[in-house]
Amino acid sequence: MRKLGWAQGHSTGTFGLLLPWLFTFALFWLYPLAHSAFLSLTDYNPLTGAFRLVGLRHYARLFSDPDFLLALKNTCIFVIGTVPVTTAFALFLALGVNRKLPLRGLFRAGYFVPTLTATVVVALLFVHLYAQGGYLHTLASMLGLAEADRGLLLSEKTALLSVMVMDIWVSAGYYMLLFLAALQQVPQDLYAQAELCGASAWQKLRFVTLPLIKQITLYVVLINTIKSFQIFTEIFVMTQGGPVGATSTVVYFVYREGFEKFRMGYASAGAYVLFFVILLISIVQARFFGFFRRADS
Amino acid sequence: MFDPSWQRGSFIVSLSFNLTVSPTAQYNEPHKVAEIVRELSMRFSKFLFFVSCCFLLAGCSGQKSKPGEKTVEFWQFWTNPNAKAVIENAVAEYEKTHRGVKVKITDLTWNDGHQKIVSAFAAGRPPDLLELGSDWIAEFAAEGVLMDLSAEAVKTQDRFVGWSAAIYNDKCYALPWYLGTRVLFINRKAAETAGLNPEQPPITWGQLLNWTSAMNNFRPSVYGFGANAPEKHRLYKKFLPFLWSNGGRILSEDGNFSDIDSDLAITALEYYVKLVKESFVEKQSVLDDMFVQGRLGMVFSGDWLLKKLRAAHAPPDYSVALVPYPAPGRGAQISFAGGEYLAIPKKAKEPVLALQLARSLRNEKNSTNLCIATGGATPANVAAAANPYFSEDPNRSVFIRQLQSSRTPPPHRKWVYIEQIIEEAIEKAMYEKLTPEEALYEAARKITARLRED
Repeated sequence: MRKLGWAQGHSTGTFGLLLPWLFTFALFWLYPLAHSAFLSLTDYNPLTGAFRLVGLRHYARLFSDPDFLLALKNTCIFVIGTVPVTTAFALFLALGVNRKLPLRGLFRAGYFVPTLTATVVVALLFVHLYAQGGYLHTLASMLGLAEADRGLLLSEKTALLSVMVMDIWVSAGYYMLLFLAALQQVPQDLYAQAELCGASAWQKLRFVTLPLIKQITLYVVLINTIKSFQIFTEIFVMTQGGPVGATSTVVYFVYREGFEKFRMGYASAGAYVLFFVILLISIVQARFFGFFRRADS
Repeated sequence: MFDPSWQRGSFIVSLSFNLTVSPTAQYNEPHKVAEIVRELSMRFSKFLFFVSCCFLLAGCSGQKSKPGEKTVEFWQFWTNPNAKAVIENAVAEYEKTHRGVKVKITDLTWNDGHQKIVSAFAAGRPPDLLELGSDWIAEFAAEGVLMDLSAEAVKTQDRFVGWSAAIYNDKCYALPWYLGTRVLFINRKAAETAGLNPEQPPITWGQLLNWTSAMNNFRPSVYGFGANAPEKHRLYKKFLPFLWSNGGRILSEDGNFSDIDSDLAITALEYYVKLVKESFVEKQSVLDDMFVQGRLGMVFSGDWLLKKLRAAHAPPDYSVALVPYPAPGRGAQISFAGGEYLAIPKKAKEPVLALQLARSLRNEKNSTNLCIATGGATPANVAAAANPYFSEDPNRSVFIRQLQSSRTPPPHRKWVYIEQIIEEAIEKAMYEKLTPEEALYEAARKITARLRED
């Protein structure tokens, strides 16, 4: 049997099957990544193609740009606010629909529907829900709550929170499915043994369920963190970074700099700062969950 | 119609399949089955590799025009089915009079059209004819990517209006196609209920504020005035009429610094903030919907609202009026003017044909048909604007009158920065982060600094 010298146990057949994906990965991911890194060191104008090397000037400027710092702050608040809540809410939903309930298929499908709907559609829906005179406003006044003078997306205090609530509602269904798959892998006899030992529901959850779904929890937290750092569509459709920059995020900042002001180099530098932030946090999270620990230790 | 490149591709696929996947081993010895599977797997992966290459080659071959046929690429923003039908008819007529020329229309949306245009220029593949918003012309002209159309402008200047947005550094880089402005929409029933006479709409800022207060007595079923929430590329269009009507301006005569912090400008912003405090504040789309539902007494909006009202199931009884003066006998009734223009990139492959297509699209017949189909917009073509459809309609005629005293923002290569700074200043004043004076002082400093940057 022929084997490749550099990868024990891999045949040329495997490599050949991977080739189409590797090709598209290189063309649409690796190349733009490398090109973007180069652009971040230049003053590139996309309209004329002209550029000159400026070294790390963009990176230095970013950390004294109040717009970028505000965007970074808002992004961090968004991540800290949504990731734990989405994870906990998704696990709660999964635990709920994992039980033998009537119509549980309907509940599972229902919680997943927001994930299937295009983000733009959901965002537009929530623009009208949150508007002054919109559904939520009307409901609040019917319940006798104080009327706000502005819609939720137009108040500095509530704009970012409103986007976060929408994001949690949209995302929870997807992660619920992942948790559900993990919960169904947990051996039921462990619960039986725990019950025999007199464990309460909370103790079963803490000492049986959570440890056994640790890997999927890491995956959910990692993916959700990365996705949350990249928040853009909701901001673009709902608030465009306002009011007064209260919902400006890093990716929206990058978009404005690159596509509205034609400062591709500066925008690329902003994108790379975000990349390193996400990379660092992902490594920290993985270590926290023991991802890098050897399996035999 | 079968594409020859796919024929070639499928021949190569079948040849490669026959060469690589034909089974050769025998099956009567079980220990050889694993070897057979490995062999098939290798051959299959080679087959997949060939197939991938074939598809790539086929995909890269591109669509070729027929021999002798020329293609004019036209990018435009009219995606509404009625408007698109008019564009397609106009293009079909053009193709009839230009044998051997095919027009390929690409639709853009206002949400991402600007990015697509920038990407096309960046890739060195812009279309031949391009529809641009009025506030985009200067930024593209400043980068030197648009063709100088001054000769065409000189020939046709009397037949069209709206040239100011197309002029940059004393040269014309685009041809006005259609224009839009902002007027005051009034819910007549809401006005009457509040004891106001809709036949005598508010003509001064003071009257506008009084009308707003009077109609606010009927909240929450009806709000007096709808003011724009902070919304990129929209908010400044609602403030600039107040600035200009009061005699203020954004840039100095020589364009070297900003004098948006003049007393006249500060007065305008102070009034605007006072009006916003009394108003229902929301995004433009929500304000338009509220007006159509009869829940807003007044709103500044454009011709697209005429179309929404006509399409509504039970629209309110409404009228339109010119924007108000600052005070009796003081200032002017200047509104914001924007529009859509046709430009030809310098790297267009068929610039002569593109110019001929532009002339065809802008002629009296096509301009009128397009405005009628959209139910809004005002043609830049003077003869089309004189059509009874516009001049004899009580609401459209107000738009035509308002256009005569409307202004476009100063065409400047850094307009996108100036616009952002103005919107930030208005937002800060609206949200009471700064007083109007502080906000405009800060804006003037920032704009001047930006103008002086390389």
